[in-house]
Amino acid sequence: MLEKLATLDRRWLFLVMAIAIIVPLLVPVSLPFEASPPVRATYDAVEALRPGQTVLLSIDYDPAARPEVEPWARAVLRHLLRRRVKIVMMTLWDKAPPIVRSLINEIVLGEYNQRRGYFAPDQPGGRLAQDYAPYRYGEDYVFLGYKDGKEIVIAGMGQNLRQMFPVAEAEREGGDKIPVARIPVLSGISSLRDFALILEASAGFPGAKEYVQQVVTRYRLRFAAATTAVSVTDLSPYYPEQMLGLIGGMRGSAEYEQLVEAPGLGTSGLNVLTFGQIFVILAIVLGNVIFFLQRRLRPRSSPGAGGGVG
Amino acid sequence: MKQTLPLVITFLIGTLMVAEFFVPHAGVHELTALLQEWGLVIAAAAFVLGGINVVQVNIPKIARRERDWGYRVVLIGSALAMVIAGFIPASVFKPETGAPLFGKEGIVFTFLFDYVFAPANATMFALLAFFIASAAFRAFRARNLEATLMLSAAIVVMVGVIPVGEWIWSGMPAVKQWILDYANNAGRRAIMVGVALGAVATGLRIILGLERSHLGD
Amino acid sequence: MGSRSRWLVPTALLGLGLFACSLPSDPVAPATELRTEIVRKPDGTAIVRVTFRKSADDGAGREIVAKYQLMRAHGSDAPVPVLSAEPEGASPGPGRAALDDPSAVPGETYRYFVVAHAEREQSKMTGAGGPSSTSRPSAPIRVPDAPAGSPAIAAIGAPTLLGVSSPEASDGRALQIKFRIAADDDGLVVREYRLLRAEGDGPFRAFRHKDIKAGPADGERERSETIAVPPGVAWRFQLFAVPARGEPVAAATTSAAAAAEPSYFNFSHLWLFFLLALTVALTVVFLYIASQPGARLFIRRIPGVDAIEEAVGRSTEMGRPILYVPGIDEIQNIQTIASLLILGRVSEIVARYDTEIRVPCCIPLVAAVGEEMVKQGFYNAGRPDSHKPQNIQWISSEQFAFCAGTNGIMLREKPATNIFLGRFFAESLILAETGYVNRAIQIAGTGEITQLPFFIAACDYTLIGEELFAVSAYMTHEPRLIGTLKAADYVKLVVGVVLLVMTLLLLPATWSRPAVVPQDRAHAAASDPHCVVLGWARRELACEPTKAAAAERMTAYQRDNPPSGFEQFVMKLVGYLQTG
Repeated sequence: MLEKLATLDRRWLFLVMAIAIIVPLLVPVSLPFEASPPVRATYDAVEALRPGQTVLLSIDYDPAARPEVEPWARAVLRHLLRRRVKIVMMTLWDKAPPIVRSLINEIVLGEYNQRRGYFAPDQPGGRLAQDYAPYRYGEDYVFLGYKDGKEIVIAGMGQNLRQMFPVAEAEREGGDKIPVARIPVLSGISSLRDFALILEASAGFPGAKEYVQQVVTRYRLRFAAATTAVSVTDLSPYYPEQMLGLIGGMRGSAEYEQLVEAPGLGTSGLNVLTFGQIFVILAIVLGNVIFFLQRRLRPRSSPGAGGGVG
Repeated sequence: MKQTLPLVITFLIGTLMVAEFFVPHAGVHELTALLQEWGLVIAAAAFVLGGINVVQVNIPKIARRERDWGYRVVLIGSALAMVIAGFIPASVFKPETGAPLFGKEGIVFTFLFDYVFAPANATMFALLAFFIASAAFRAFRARNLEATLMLSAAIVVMVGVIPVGEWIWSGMPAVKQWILDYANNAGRRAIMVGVALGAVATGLRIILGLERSHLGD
Repeated sequence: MGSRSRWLVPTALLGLGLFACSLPSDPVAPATELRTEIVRKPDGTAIVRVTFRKSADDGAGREIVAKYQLMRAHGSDAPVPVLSAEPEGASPGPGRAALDDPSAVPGETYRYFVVAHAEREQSKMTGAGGPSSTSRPSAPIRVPDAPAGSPAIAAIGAPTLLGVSSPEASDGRALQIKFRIAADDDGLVVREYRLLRAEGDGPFRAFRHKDIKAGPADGERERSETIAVPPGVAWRFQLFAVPARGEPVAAATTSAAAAAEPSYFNFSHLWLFFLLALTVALTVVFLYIASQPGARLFIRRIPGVDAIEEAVGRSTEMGRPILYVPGIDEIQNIQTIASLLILGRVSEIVARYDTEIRVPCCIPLVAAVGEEMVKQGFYNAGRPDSHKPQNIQWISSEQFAFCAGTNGIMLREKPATNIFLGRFFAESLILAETGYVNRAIQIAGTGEITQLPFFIAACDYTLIGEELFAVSAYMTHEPRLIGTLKAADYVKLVVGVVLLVMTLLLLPATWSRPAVVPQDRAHAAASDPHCVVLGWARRELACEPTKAAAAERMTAYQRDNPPSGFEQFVMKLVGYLQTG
């Protein structure tokens, strides 16, 4: 029996994992949680923006990292619209432009400009300003597009944004690009230093680490980013000196969604994460129980397969 | 000569690249920027080589109907579909209203990206969840004191991340943060210092021409 | 001769093309037909409106004008920039445009100029002159006297230029301008500062430079800004304060001439230079030791590398190939380079055992270089005929597509040994778990710290961080190469000792020195944003609503508790080491 358990076909584990993921998706259970200081600090930084200030939102992730980082990108975009700040979007990832387009279409054009969903008039107060007006492309927000060159682009934007992005994407896909000199939202913006806040949804390289190394420390910029959970340990040394906020993975996204009162994919994802994580912990415990029982029965047996040698 | 010339070029360019870090003079920077640009051009040209490689490796195996040749047809076919959808100019079929059919922002390319590439990409990434479960079950064992310490730290961090941690004990996230900030960071930095020095040593071996295996030594 | 002349024409054309590209570019066409008129505002005050025809280059499909800026000259003075209601000036596009001067002083006579600023920056290669151009002056216009009873407009004081010099660690294309901000400047009255520059003794002209914001920086009224300038010319500068509310611009101060001088060494990198020099010196020392007859340099065993030959032998016995993945990063990454060097050595072993090696690559250039390395390895082992180029394969430069392709190779061809060396990201565990299911012997190594746990969990042997860089030297057992490992080890020892000594020296200083930290770092319960930690270890906190107030309290604390002689010494030492 023990032997059978020790050499358990991993597909059984896969099956239980699948159940642990699918069930919470179908039957949402919400466990209470508190926003951690780095997430709250990001929220406070956005909350402190005055209407009309300009913010850079860099969307640097691909479809693979979408579930982890996009919930925050959506939540923070709603938050920025709520603050009525001007938004400049861009990306350093070649697979991100369709993602940015869908964010604009769904949240800026779909929700805010149509007064639907999060911005519906029947939602709790404070989401739509007294002097509500739809966001206009080029005047209130703009998408600069994708630029190849990775960290070189980041360093270049620290010196001269227009040299890196001489033209911006058209309002509609496939339209003619617009010279940045004709974009009102960029008037008065010549480099990264001119943004009131720089936000980034970062799923790896080039990402938040490169921003900190290339420009944030050098020009003392106000910078916050959301990253995948695996990169949090990489970035945590930068908080709070270089990065004023850090949103880590699904958990961080869920906390941000809670702060802006927009429970979405992050919150439901956190439930999935909770049950998945509990299952991993149980798998570790089970593995160890089997290991100790085996050792008790055969005290001099050699350890099983796996296990690293440094 | 066949060995000396590459060694001299490596030494000169390597030293120049190192010098750029210490010498702020614009002349040095311009020279290194030019070299880096050449590097980019070569890397881009290598994509053509890569394409040829794909054809060379797969077409003969399809022609010979080798085992699993069907997968190779899928590979060549999907690569071609993506290339064609992206390379045909948007002006070829442009309706009065709406997006063009072809081009990198055309309907075909966007469809392939949204409904084939994106889900397939996310699926591969999502496999990690299953593989982590099986790796955790198999390999994460308290064999000795070090492994036990690592195991306990891992469990505290995992429990600290999810809301259940707060529910069990309100101090759990703080303990998790302490482990990440101190124990984890100390270890990481030690490895980072080692990696940096190892990289410097490897660089020096190549720049100084001590490592010549790539030149047939 | 024939073949040479065939290349002559295209080469000459290419050279000519490059030369043409590097020629100084012409300035944009200036604005023309300036007309001035007086416009009365409802309160009776007058403003001057200047209308003009836009540059002929503007909107002619070239879109090279970024903005138009209004300048005015008083009497025989040099023209100075005028504040206009629109911060960016008139927007580009064909046709006529108007710019207002709201700060014209009643009773004065002015001439106006319009500067067309080009979108393109100056040529970096040639430093050719600024492509902006100034129009011919308008006819003089007298501003009517103010109606009786309207308040007099006082000019904003001028900033004081303190000096112009090349900044530290300059590339030779920048000048640092030190100045004291205008006496009235509290960050509100002045909108920004603007510079005019003159080449040698020539006239002062406007030029595009980065924005110089108003107000004190970090509480200091004496500031400095670094401005990009073309090299090789001595420049004089004039600095103006541009008022935020339309007051007149006061006379500016003029600097002495200064040319941008390049620096030849960046002294802020002195400490790193010392480390590099130490590594090179130690390498030379160990090369000398290694060259002595009978020299043996000790190097500890790395079980993962010892296992490679064993694993190749096992693959040969089982009649299955070896899979070698050189990471997924570009060729210029040092981990990829280290991995390709190891690939050469591994292929040599593989060739000796007469078995097969499969190398899937994520970057085309890595595949091209990898093929050369494998070919060389087979050649070194004396079996060039056994090399199969099609075994080195570019799969996809898309991370997960590459991962899927490599997993496919593992599942179909069932290699008995998998070697993953290089830079890996999220695909590490997916690759290693698939290999585990195949019951392959797995040897992994990466400097990517986040992926190490995955490899350790799923592989038989994992090389951690720097071990990856040691493999190539370790496998040869050549004293020459091992000498470089020893040198790096001794440098690490030096770094370790310095870290330890610095930490010990800093401890008493951190114990008693105050520091301003954000609230959550200090774990303060209050909602105050900034706290002064008075004595770090004792966690005595004093929280203040703003950072400035916290800094004030810190200064007061420092005044009341002056540092001891020892602490002063330590702080000086640390300061020196940090700044070099």
